[in-house]
Amino acid sequence: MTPDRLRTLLSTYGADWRRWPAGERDAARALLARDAAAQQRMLDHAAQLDDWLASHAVAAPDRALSERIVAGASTTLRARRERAWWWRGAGLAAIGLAGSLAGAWGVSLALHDFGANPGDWPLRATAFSALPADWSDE
Amino acid sequence: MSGDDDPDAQLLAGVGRNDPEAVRQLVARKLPRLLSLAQRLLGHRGEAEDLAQDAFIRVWKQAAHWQPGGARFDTWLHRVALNLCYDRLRRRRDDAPAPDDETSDPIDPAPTPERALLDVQRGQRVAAALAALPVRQREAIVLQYYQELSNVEAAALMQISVEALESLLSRARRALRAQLIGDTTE
Repeated sequence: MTPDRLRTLLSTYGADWRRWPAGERDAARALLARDAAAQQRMLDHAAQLDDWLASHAVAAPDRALSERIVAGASTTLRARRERAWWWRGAGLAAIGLAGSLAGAWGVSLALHDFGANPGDWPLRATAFSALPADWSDE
Repeated sequence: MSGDDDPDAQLLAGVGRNDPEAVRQLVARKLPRLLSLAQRLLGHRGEAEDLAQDAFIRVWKQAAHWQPGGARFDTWLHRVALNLCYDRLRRRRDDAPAPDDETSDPIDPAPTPERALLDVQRGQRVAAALAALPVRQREAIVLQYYQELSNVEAAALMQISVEALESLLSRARRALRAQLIGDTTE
């Protein structure tokens, strides 16, 4: 820690060592302790602005604002839950529809194969398949 | 920053289950800091309150999906609030500082009325000086000084290096000193 870096810390982070970078606090405080008189003016200078900044207080949130935010939670969480249920239902419906479509497709494929070649033998054969259609052999 | 030891993780889990008590506790724990951040950055109480409500709506939407082990919730919430502040600041058509109506808000009790009046006047001057800062300098001083974030956390939120943060802080303090104390040395 050099006097220059200590000066930078004070002009950047202020006089309160708890606001300084954690890795430099000990060294900076040690330097201050070694030569307090020399550094006191810098410390006072930084503390003066800190005092000003500390005077800027923000009023605590009022109860009405807190209540509005809490009320918003139940509305948002309920809507999210309802959406989740909707998506879950839609998902199940989509799965069901997909199953139906897959089944219909499978059946159509099977029927398509069955009718693709009408003369296939022996798939479509019956006991009368070999007989002439005009019964001329009879 | 790891969220393994995130002090808000348990509350968030409760919020995700729509536990009303967890919701109340989270609001009580986070709203004051969120409001401070927004009011100091925007310079306007009403806007800060609107922003806080918007930020919490995002919290409620995310709570059920929150995964421990990532960023800490407080860091995430600061990020959300900063983004909402950027949006609002961008929407402002001119660079004039917004009027700060916080003077109508109650302040902490002071020992005497004279002292309270002095505090109010000083607070008003600081608010005006903050509002006059360039946005990035204001953001740096609000995160580091008022929100009490470490330099690493503030730099990460602003997506800049620590060195760049220090430069912004140093310039911000110099400008504030000139405005408030009339002193241009640092």
